Amino acid sequence: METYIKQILDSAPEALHGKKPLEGHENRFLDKLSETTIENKNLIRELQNAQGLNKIPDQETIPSKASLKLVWRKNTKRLLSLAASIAILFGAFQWGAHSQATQTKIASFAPETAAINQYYPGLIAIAVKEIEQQSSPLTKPHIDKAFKEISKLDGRFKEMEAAMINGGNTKLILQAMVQNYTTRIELLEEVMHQINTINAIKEHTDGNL
Amino acid sequence: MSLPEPTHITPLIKDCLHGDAKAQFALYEQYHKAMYNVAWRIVKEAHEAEDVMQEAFISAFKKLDQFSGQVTFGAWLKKIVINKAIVAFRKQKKQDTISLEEEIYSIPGPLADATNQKDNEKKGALVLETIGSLKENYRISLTLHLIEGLTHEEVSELLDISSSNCRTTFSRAKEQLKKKLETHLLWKHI
Repeated sequence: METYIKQILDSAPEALHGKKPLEGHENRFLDKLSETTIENKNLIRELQNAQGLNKIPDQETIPSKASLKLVWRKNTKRLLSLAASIAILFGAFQWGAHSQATQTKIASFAPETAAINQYYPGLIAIAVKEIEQQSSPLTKPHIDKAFKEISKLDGRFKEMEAAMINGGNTKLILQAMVQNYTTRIELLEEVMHQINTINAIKEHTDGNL
Repeated sequence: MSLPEPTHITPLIKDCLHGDAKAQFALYEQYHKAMYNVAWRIVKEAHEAEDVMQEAFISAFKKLDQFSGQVTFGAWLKKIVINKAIVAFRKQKKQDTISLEEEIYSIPGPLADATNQKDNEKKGALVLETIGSLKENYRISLTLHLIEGLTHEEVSELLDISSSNCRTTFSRAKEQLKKKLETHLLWKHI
């Protein structure tokens, strides 16, 4: 059986090497690399520029508008295909609704935050509502766990907003905010996948009784 | 008369030995995906896997002069990745942080993208998913032996367990894998 399994694995390179690192990993690596040697710092900045991040020398890693847009577009596709398989409701629920005053203040620091805060919470609310609909004794533990994690992320997001208002590095925080929302979407996707799996197994089991 | 350069010192590695960041990044581009997957299978979390993988590269560059060419560079690098991944895995256990990802992957189910995959890939994905769904020590044992191809000696050294403990666990893990695969919906159809 061991040889059989090894054979199977040898002929499935996509399965073995299919996982992709999170977006931005090259840049994070180059950051780590630049910490190891002083001589290479200029060369590494060049490499980071070549990564298309429009880096300004002596500034920390920031996502360019272009790469931010790309992340938005990718996430829209994923989330919409998620919603497409189930009826779309107009969710009244907004995770961590912020006061208008806070929103305006934050937007003054980075106009991008206004767009981000308009765009993501809506998508997430739709997905949340759909997932809640799928709650059953089997799926509830997984849903609860996911929502707990998302709550934590929401908490951290609020900390980021506070940090921005208090004069933190706007560009860095912006990047973290996008990543925060992206992670929430990923969590929701994972839970959806779990729910589908559980329902499929249940169907199959019920069908065979 | 100058000695011929050993064959494992490719131009790329030579440049890395001289601390050339471009060459180092090129090596990263070439190997990072495979190494990321190695790390991920052990730590089961994206951020952790990325850190492990990247730190392994940095480590490898630092001790590149120790690379003797007895194995391929990829194999040499992979060992470093596995070492770091196991350290991270142990830390996870201590902190009792079972990531959400790990919880999710503990349910093997119908493969989401099965329709577009060739049969081989379907089988492979199923095997990997099932291995990932086993309890921790079985998962690690199968990952290190079957997927990463380590020997009993290497695994027992890595995990700091006795050789007999290692073999027993591996035996039991294979049994579990067999059982789970045989009951899986897709296994019979491909």
